[in-house]
Amino acid sequence: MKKLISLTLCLIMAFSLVSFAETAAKEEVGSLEVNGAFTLKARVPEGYTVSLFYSDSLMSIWSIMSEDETKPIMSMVIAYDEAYADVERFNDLDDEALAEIEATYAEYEMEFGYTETKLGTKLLMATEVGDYQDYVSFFSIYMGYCIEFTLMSGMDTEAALTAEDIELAIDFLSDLDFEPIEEAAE
Amino acid sequence: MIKRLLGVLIAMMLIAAMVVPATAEVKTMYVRTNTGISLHVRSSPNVTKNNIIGSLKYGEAVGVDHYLGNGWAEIVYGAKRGYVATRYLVATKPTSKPSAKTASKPETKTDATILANMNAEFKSAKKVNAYTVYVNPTRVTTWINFRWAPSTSAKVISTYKAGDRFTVISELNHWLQVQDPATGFVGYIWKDMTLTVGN
Repeated sequence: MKKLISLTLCLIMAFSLVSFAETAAKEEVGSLEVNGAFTLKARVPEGYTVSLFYSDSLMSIWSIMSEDETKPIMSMVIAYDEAYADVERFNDLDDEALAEIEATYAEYEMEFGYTETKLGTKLLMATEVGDYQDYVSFFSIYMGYCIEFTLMSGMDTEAALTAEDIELAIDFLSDLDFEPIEEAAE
Repeated sequence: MIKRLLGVLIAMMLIAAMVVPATAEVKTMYVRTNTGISLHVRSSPNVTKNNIIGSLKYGEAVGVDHYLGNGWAEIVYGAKRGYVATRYLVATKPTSKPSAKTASKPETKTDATILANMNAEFKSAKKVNAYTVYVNPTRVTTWINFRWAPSTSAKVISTYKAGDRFTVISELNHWLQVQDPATGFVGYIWKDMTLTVGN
């Protein structure tokens, strides 16, 4: 049984609509489209595979797992929320809206701090306080859809997440591309 | 002659009763969004750019014709039919809009405090007639924890996502004792992370 390992990091990332120039082609995540609204593309880490765990008209859940079961498990949930129906990008939110999102993490007994990635992305850092609620969570919004990415320790391992594990997740998220789907003219 | 006419009349009434459908019972529910905003009404049970036909205000009553079972409900919307996401419907009219939340430093609890709080929750338990609740996390993308005891310090048995449902066995101050209808497991979930939706 998986054990969620505590860390001191909880991130909120502001995603840009501009793709980063990459030498390696990006692989699409899952079925490309999110409810016909946008396409999500990412470079999948070597040795990892992406699979769709759950999908309905409101929510999709993806798992990103390594062939090596001791490696961290990543999952990504994309779900439409009326609260953000008019929000194009996460970095459009004002301080009050950000504070509300921070407060939802506080309900899970997490403390906060701020830092930046090497790409200059603002990060919200959170420290777990409760005994068993240990995980790393990344959050963003695009076109009314909440995107939450979670990193957990590997299956049946007691090992804590390492700095390299966190870097892997940050690199994955830094490469995410969101492309709106243009509707065909009738 | 009269008997024959009566017989024909009765037969016609019986046929009419079979042909004319009984008026479907529309259940009244109320809009409750996490942030107090209005709820979109759509012309089809999915999220697209162009299927919004109106909106319902926070706390507004809505007549639910039936639940589609996929997170959507068909509603009576004026002279038209519409669709809304069921996670924003509750059986009881909300008394007030949610206030803006601000993050606060979690309280550091001692073991004695944890045990005292847990015992207080156990003592508050009241058995209820079984009803269904749906998981409604603060963030739609997260999950809630299903624990073996009514305390955030209790071990998590499993996690559940938005829309998953439980059968409520008893109500506590801040928790619900529930059973997962799929697995039969019994545990506790945080009451504020659930929605009660009519069947």
